[in-house]
Amino acid sequence: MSRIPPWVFGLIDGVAASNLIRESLIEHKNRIAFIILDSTLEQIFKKYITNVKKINNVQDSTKWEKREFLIKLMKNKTDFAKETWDDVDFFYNIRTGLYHEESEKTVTPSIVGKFQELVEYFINELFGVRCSELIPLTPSLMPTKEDIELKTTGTIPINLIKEKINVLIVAVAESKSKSSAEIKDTLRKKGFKQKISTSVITVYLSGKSYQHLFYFDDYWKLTEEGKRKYENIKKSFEVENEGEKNGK
Amino acid sequence: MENDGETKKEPNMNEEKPHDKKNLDDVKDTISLKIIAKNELFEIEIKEKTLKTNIAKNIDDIIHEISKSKSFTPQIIQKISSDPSPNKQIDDTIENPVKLLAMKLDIDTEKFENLKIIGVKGEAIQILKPTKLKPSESCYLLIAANEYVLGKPSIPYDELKELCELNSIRSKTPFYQLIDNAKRYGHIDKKKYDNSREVVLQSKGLDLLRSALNKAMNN
Repeated sequence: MSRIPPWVFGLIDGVAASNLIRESLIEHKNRIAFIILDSTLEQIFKKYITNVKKINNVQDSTKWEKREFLIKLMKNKTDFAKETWDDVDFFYNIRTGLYHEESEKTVTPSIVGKFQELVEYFINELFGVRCSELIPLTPSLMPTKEDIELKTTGTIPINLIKEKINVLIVAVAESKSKSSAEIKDTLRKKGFKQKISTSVITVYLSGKSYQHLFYFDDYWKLTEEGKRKYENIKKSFEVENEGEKNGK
Repeated sequence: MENDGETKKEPNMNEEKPHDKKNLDDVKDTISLKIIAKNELFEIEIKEKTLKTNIAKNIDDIIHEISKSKSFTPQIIQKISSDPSPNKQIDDTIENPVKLLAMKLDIDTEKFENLKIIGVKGEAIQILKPTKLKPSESCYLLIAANEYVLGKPSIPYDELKELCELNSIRSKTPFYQLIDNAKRYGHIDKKKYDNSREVVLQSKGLDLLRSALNKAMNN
């Protein structure tokens, strides 16, 4: 995955917020998550038009507030399939009902799940990001006090790392794993909370995207570039830690 | 690609190289070995098809055990193992995961291997030419490889989605639409997916994949 454009983080947080709410015990969680996703989708389109397509000269600024205008502009500037735009319309109609009708109204988990996938799909395709490579923020995966305290011991808190590839770099650097299964086991021992299959680990290690970071010689090791990335991960937590100390 | 000059790198999946021992050992096949003592001979029976390397390792272990016995005669073992195998072609196919997949899909093994559309390395299955097929067909190929090469009867939706993304299988629609369509057209097991969000190819999906691969191989 290439560098994540700065404006994308806010959009990803919209998805993370939806995750948190969808896993909560709030009765109308699906309705609230849906509205957050709808707002995120609107932001995605606006960020794409202004930051990627560099269109800032929309004469009538009030037009920006109209979703129909935004969608029409997006259709002209992209080549997504008709079925994709049909779904955008479908979810927009649901959203209108949720906004303007009674607050008791909600949607099914399946609908909000698909809407979230649609939002993630647009983030991936429009900004060259893979949301699935980032660690999803959900209550069950939230860092604990112990995770945060790990920072003070000089250990990299595995559950505070936001990208899966960095998690794997740490696991490879800090073990002598001979297989994906052993890397998975290393992650488990480090208390890593997210599910990751051995097949996915192997594709990360050997696939085109990241094979320049790893190699196999008796066991999985980091290349020089991988080692540099590992050092950067370590430093990022040290800097964060120093900042916290100075803040105190 | 940067690499540590002092160390060797594992083979690139894109390079055409024979599969190394580790890769073959990673394939999870069951093996059933039986040793029968007949007079002075030890007869070894292999019940399941498996990779040669697995067989060799198991036989080595068995020989090691047998060698502790006074009745062990190395020449006899040698004689048995040097018998010409009538299933050499099948063994070669099992040894090569790509050919094995072709055999299971009932398509031309040589043409499929030459197409170089998929690479298998240990537990990693990689689509090497994602644009050669439609996104849905590439996805079905991943599902089929997961089942026939790795021996996993189904694949969780989220894992399949992530594998498709990692393999650069890009579509002009979101992934859930691809799976919804697969379900609608009976390409995947609807009941299984609805109950557990696990994806299993059905015969209709396999037919579509077979036909797409035949088309790609003959182009």
